[in-house]
Amino acid sequence: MQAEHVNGATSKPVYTPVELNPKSSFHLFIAEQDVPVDLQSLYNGCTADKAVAAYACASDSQLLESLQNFPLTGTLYLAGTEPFLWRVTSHARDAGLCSDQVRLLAPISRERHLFCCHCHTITEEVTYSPYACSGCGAMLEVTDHFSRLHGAYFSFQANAEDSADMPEKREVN
Amino acid sequence: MSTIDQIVVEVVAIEQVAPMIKEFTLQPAEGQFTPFSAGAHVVVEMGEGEQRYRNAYSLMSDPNDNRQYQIAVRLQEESRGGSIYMHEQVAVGDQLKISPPANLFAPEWRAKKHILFAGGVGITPFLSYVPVMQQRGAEFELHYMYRSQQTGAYSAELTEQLGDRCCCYDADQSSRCDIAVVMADQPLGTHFYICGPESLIEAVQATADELGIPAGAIHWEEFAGAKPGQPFTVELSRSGVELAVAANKSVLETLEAADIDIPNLCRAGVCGQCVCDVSEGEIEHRDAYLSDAEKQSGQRMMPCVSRAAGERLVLDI
Amino acid sequence: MRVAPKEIQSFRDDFTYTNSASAIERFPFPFPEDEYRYSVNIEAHQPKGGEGSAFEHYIDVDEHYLSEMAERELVLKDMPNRCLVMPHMDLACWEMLERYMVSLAEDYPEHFKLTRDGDNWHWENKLLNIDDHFTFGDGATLPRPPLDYIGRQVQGDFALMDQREGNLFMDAGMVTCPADWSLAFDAGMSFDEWHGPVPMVKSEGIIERARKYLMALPVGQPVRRLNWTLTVNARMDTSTEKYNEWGHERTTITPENVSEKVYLRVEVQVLDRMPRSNAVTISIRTYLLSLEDLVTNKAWAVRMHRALKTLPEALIDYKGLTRFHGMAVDYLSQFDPAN
Repeated sequence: MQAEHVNGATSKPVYTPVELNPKSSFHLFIAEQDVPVDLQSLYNGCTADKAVAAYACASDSQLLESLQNFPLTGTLYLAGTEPFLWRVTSHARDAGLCSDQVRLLAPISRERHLFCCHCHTITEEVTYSPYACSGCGAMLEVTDHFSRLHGAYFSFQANAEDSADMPEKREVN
Repeated sequence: MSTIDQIVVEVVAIEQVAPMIKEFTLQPAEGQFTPFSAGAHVVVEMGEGEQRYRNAYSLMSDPNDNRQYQIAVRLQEESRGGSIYMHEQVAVGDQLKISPPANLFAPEWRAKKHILFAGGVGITPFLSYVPVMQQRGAEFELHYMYRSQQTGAYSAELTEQLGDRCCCYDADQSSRCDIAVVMADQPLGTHFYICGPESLIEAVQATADELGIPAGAIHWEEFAGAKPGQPFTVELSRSGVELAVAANKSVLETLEAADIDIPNLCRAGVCGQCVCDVSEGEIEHRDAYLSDAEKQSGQRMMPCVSRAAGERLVLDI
Repeated sequence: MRVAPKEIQSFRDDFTYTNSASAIERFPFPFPEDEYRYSVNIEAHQPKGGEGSAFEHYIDVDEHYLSEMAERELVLKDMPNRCLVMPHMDLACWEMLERYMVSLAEDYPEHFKLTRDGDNWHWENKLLNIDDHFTFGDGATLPRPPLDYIGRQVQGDFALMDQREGNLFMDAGMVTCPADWSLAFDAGMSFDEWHGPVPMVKSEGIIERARKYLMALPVGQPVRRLNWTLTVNARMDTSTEKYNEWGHERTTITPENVSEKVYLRVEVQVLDRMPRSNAVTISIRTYLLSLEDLVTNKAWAVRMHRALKTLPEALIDYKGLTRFHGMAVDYLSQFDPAN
């Protein structure tokens, strides 16, 4: 498995600019930490019934609570890191929202969560490849193959075929 | 890609269940039917030669009952022949051929609540939904619109079985469904299903759009299939054969009448099995399968429903 | 079955796995033409090649049955999450169990027996000495959940796809002998996401066409396609999970050992619609054949040479063949009269 071809995987999410849904009767804006500028400007531009919430490290129960009483005709806007976006999306889908009711702003950080396929540990705040697994310590090749369920990118030991053949360090974005 | 094996069935009962609707009970000529999933359909083949028709019908019996399948056929005055044949030619003891069940209209089981809109004979797929939804303890409502002088089959049984979860609207008794009232204020996670004429599908879609209900919560199945159009000629580039497509025949039916079999399942422009490459001629696309880009390219068509925009099409067959 | 299951051989450590002459003869050779092309290549899963062929029955039980079942036990003991089932897939798993038990009992009555009285079922697997009474649909009456139970008795990997929202989602599976992928990571993915890393397929629209085709698959009309790669040593578990253990073997190939150490790995993938759940099951059955066994069939040797030689660079990399592809082509060239 060679990184240059695993990269460019079609499973990597593409984030397009987010607009308000003009048909919605209710708009909920959720940010992971501080409300970023683009979410704030969406909120400011919204004249319908609306609410905004920022969660410092939102627990799942806080997220679920914010989705209680969410209407069928509402739209949810999310801003934060990529794992946060997909974790909340997953809760929203469980709560009954359709995929077209959830709009994701581009992640606020290029940090990735990395899924180590050998020990299944997720390593956080990854910005370059190869990167040491926080579980088994293997130097992991970072790919663009993304799981929405895990909110993480696929990775495997970079020098498994030849221990002397460690790929050069590169930034991932 | 394979063509579909057909199953030979015997008609074991025919019942007039509404002025314009007959119910057919089918049993396998040999072996056993499989169970099926709620919303599945079969394509029934009837007649021979010039009088050979293939129409898709929803299975309306209990999906867990594999002893027999039931379908209901509405007599269509504008029919291209199939429903008239079923109503006038088919008798108990006759044999027909059906495709195995396929499902392009399954319930969204992640939904918190299901609202079913049936128009006339469009009740049929929901008859297979109901027992499964009851078995799963799913929350649902059925809104059934019909004209009792033509359709309205099973309305009494459904009312008795479902109580206030079933609302019947008989236009011949001036009873009408206010779709906006039904759709407003439904809880998060509600999904809506429509089976009926195009006008009903459009009305529910428009209401959803107006209320801000997400498009992903709306599911529909048209029972119309191919609609007639202008006659034209279709030429098959590989064999040089030329065929005349009559106003009331689809390209697929014309090919089949010439013994050219093309894989197909839904005969309504949804499943994509019968896609053909087109080398010449303008296409009038009428399907829900090809993407807009594919339609614009003019290189592929669904012969089950789409037609020529001009007088001639050349297919790469 | 024309090839009787033989004693257990290993797919790891000392690699005692071998193919008998009749197993070689019935090997599902995957190249229909000289030049390699990636395509959907789906055909009806019906008998082909007649009695004794790998396609004679819905499920092929061959001489490696006991070895593959023993290997599966080792993998699952080490990593139980090679079998994953999301709760909404329970019905689909029972349907797969039904489909497999019914066809095994019909096709191999000397080894398997199913007795059904309504939902009271009695299953006998004489090859593995299993004899269980259970209630169909009631997980509490089986020693293991349905997929885990039947999956340990049938060769090949299994993935079950839920059909919803205009797509197929891989929401259950048992995967102990994959060609370099991870069920734990890919679980829950849509058909398109799952195939995300495959090169060259996006621009050609192959995945989308395959998905639409599968979504319209009717009940009782299974289809199959063949996939292939090359594996170093007769290793069944080439999961990415274990890549850190087997990856180095790719550097051990030399012109001298290429014919015995490199195996053509063929997957016969059978896709089938489950009637009640509307799920699509995929069984991915892996066959391994060393190049030295392969070239005993002269026509295969020629075709294998030409297919490998014309394999696009992107696929050589994706399949992980870069380190030994040239040696395999060189070895095979001696059998091709065009050279």
